[in-house]
Amino acid sequence: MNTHDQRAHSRSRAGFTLLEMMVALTAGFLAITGIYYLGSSSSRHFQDQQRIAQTQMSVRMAMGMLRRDISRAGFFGTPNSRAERRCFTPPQEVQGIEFIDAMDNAVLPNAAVNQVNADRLRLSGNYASSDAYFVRTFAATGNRLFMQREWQAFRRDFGVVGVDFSADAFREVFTPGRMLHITTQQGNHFFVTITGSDPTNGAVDFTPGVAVGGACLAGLGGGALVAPMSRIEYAVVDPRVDPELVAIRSASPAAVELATGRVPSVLVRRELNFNNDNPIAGTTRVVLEYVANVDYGFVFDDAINDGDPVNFNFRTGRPAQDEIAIRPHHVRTVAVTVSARTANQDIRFPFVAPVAGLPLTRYQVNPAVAGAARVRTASAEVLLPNFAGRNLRP
Amino acid sequence: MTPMNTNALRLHGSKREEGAVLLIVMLVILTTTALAVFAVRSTTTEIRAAGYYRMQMQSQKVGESGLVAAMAWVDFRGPKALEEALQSSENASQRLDMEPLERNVAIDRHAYRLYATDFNIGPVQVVDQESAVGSRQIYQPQVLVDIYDDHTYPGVLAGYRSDGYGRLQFIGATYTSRGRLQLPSDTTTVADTRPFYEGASDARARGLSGPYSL
Repeated sequence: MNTHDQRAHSRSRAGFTLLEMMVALTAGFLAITGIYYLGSSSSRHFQDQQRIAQTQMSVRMAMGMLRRDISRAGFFGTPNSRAERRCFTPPQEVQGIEFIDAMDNAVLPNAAVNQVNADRLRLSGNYASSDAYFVRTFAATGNRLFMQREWQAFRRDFGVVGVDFSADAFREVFTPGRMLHITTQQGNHFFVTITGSDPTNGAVDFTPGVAVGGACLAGLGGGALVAPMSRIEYAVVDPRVDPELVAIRSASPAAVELATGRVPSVLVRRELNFNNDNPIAGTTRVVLEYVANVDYGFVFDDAINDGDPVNFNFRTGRPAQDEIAIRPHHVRTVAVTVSARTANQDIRFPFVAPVAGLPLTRYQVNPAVAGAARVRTASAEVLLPNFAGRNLRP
Repeated sequence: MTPMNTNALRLHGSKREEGAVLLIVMLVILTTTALAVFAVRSTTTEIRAAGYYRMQMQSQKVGESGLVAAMAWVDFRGPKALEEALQSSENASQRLDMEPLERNVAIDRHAYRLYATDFNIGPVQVVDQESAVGSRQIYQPQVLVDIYDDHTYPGVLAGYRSDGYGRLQFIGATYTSRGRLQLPSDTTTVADTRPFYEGASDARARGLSGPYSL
């Protein structure tokens, strides 16, 4: 090997100096640390945004369901059975809309500090089908009616007898626990409780019986229209207690829930039995999880007599509850505000007490834990076309 | 061992570096291309979804405008005209074929169909393209309204007998409006097999008209 080759060989074996190593290591460490923090921060922000976006989407979907149900109140039913032309007092008075202010506040964790509400809303109308049906005749006993099975709405909903008729669909619509709204040809209204059905004959049994052939129900009552009425409730419940939800909920220690902020509060939609106000088994549906606020307001037309100019007034809280108990048929729109929170309290998102008039953005689930959960809200004003259309007075 | 001179060493090292550069450039181009394809596909999906949503809203408006137009038709001509129109369907040759949109009405039951042209008042189209789907839109609105499940309803009239045996009555019926969005016929040919995305939305209402004399 000559000297030239020796120098080249030496160069190829030369390593880094200590200084070079130190500088390279420090620079590498700084670069890796920076990248780690950048990645970690991006990941956290991404997860936060995902949670917030999910909350926002959930709130919007819940609002969609509320809008559909509220605008259907009184559909083939009545805004207020007391204000209808009727021949006897029904076993259960029917209101198209019922409102109980702050009834479920206890379910919302730390509700007073967060200044939130959990109102309860009940709606009634035909939520079981999209039609009213034509009455062929009443039984002479007055507690059974037979529908005209050639009526197009009957064929559309239950099928054609002898071809594809669905007895199950008929039974499901006219199920005991619901009521019937019967409008006679003369314009009289009957509100009776369903006791059973006979799909083969297109018949429904009910109580109390009506006086067939009397002044209220001329002849055998043919030509009347009949529709089932359901009573739908929106309530905020604790899934750890609610009998329908507790069975399907995965158990989690209460201490862990409190420490993380994952204390559940759920907005549910369920159907109530007209006879006893109890939820009908199997009808509870979760509408929104981690509910933060459910608040309703109402626009009333306070004009009392026919011909009076409209007199719109907005009420909420206890005054609205009291007014609806007396004159539900005066409600024209419902202002709905629904909020949901993220499941966890975020230590980097400090809690600030809400200010009246400003939207709710932070929720403190557990005061012993730093930070707050993020809140997203949707608001809408929903018209009640079946109330305005009837325009019942006084 | 074959001795390697500096020239050979330089040449050898340089060649290896050129290979690495090529690989890195290829990877960068590949990644960029993949990102671009993903972005284009994502944007295309978003645009298509927005288009579907717009069509959904437009067809809903068309369906609802058909319903309103049918109600206005009855208001303009009176409930008697509606009753006569419904009775005209008692003639078997006039019977509507409602399938597959809906099962046909039972034998001896009334059903009458109003078409978009029935709503025109002189040269004015009630359900026209611009007012139904907006300006500069290729899709044309189509609407028809079926009326059935008619029945009489005496109701309560001030100063008139309320036992249902008077000469005045209301006529109640179900109105089902079917709104559709279609491409105009001059933009399609028989041989054209492109998928035509069309919108459909139905609206239904019960109407009560009257009073009128029997």
